[in-house]
Amino acid sequence: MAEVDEARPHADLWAEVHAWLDESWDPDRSVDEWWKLVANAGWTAPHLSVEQGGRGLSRRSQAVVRAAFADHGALRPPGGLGLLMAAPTILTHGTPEQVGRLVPPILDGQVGWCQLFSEPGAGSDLAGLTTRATRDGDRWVITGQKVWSSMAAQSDYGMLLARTDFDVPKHKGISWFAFRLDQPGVTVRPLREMTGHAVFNEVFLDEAVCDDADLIGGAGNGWAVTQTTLHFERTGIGAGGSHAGFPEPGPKGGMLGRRAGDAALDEAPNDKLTLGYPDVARLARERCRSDDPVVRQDLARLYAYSQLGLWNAQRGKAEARRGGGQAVASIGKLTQTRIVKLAAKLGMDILGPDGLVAGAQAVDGGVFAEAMVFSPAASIYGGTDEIQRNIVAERSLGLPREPTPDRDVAFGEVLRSRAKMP
Amino acid sequence: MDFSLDDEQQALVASFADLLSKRSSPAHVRQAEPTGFEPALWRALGEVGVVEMAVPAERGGWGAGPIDLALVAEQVGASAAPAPVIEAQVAARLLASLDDPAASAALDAMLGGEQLETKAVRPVVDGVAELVPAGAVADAAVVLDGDRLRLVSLAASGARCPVANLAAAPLADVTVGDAAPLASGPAALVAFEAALDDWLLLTGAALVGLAGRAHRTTCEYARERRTWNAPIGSYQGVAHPLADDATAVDGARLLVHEAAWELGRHGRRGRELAAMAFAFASETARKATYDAVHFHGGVGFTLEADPQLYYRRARGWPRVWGAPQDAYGRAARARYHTSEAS
Repeated sequence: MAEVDEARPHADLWAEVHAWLDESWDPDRSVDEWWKLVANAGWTAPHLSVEQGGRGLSRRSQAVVRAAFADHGALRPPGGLGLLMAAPTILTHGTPEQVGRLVPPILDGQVGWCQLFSEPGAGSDLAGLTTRATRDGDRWVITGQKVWSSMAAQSDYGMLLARTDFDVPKHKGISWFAFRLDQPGVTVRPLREMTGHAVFNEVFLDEAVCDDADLIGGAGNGWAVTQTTLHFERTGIGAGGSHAGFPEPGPKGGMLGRRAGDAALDEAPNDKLTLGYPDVARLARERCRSDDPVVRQDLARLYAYSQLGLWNAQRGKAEARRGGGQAVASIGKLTQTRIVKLAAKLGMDILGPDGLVAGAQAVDGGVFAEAMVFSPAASIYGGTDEIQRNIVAERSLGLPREPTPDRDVAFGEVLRSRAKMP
Repeated sequence: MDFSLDDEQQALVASFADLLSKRSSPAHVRQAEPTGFEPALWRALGEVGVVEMAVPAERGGWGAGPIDLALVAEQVGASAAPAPVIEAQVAARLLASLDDPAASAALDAMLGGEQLETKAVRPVVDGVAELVPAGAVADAAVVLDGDRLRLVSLAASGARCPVANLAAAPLADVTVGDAAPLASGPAALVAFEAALDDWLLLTGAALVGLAGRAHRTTCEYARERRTWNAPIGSYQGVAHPLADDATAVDGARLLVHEAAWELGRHGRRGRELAAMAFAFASETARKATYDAVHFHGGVGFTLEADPQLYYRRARGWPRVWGAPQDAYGRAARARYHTSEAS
């Protein structure tokens, strides 16, 4: 698939998309009709094979197709975490029945997905999760608590990790469920963050249910399935920022019933939560601080990191094609968090007292102030800086892992001995 | 050289720490946002003489020196108290240093608890003093307008415009008008700069308190929070940065005390050390509060948790005047007697 397509220049693809849109784009259709048409033609995920619902093109084709849609003035294919993570996971580990049932509604934007991984007691140590799933006939009964779930309030499905077996070591007793959120046992509560927004949610599960037919990859195999999900999350974050949600799919996304032509005019949310060199360089010029020697030094440092980040990402893609690239992805994330933090700090230093001001009266609508408040999150989400450093140390440098005494102990036993501690 | 506190100083610190722990807990701080002013707390602090202590005895106060004021400021900072203690003390000292009837009357009103006054830390530009600390809640502000010190009444409508800000501090832009000056010419500039030295010193002390509290909270969390079946504080990746922060907070505190001692004896390095203490305390507070948010993991990022209270204030309090590099510039000019074109 990749070999045939590498030779095809993007100019051809660009022309092909425009030709298709010339024939097919109809702004008077509803969004949901339009997205079904787009998915049917394989444009939502063109890098998938034709059988899977794509067009058998390269990984890069997805970005080119979306840019061509936007250039034409047509409503882009749906986005969302389902497309970014759930669909590729189900395509890799699901049965043909599961793929046929769960993937098409993702590709045609009919359902929204969120991630239900982290718990209050299981962040970096995700395998230490304690949400319990108990078998009851042909379904599972699930109780526990999830946290940091972005878009949970706007989602129909969640990628849910739960422990289906407490009598084996922790990595072996986890299962990955395609979990329906709209049921009595589920409560979603928004979390208020330092920025004042509530992007993340807590999700409480109280004897919620999930069909056994929606358990993906086999009972107890959830950890392996999760690695696939995390791989697609990491490569997605590196590729385009932390908001892959636009345009929002599903009935709760507010898009489906609208006229497609109107929806096409929506702008992508300004991903200004994380700033980079161009934003800060522009600010320095506007505020006449580009001659300040200290500012110039910091700007140069920021520029250097940005370039390194770019080259590292390119190197990572090349290594991924050869089957490696894991440590490079971690280096990339570490570089990103450094850029995010330095840009936020430098923006505030350039603004001086004006950087304090919040809200609409603030410079640039408070973009720099918000970036300052958001910047610590970059070192936590998608794997903390500490985890990334561990990955570099272990995978790239070959340094031995830190001892983890509970690794081969039945997880139920680990919980019991923890309860006995003073 | 003995940096330890004597019995009286220890008692002073203990009494303020006790009052603030009862009336300025994180819950109180949260509740006072976004204005950042809790009148009941301010009254309680007034009752124990927080303004009187800053005024020389010959002008009706207790005559506490800069070290004692720094000790109190550190406690105020540690609890992120929603009360303009530093601004009021600095304004009171400034008014006490002036030989002017209007200044005396204003000082008497402060000592009598009838008026809350504050001081702009940056000069007036085009008739407006921007981001005056405590400007949103004070009755009057002393501002430097060209080479004139003016007392601006904030009672009239339109005199002030509160500014919403990240640190939830009661800042306001103040329109100056043409009230008769309290002092003019070189005397006005000298008085303003001396008051600025006080503000830089005490804000530095408050930042040391803020950083220390954030740091201590994080160490407690690092003892309790577990991952991979061990407390996170047992990992060197957590313990070592916290040790670095402890070292820096300690150093910032020593620098504040040295600056306070020098100012108290009218030493020639007072201006330089006050600016240096402010700069180092700002940088230390920035790092320590960042680490506090970071080592609380995802929780540190939520409004429900406490680290963000300290994180935002560590960035907001110093910025009202300027960045650490501005303070280093001030220290350099004081030390090397250079002047800059800017």
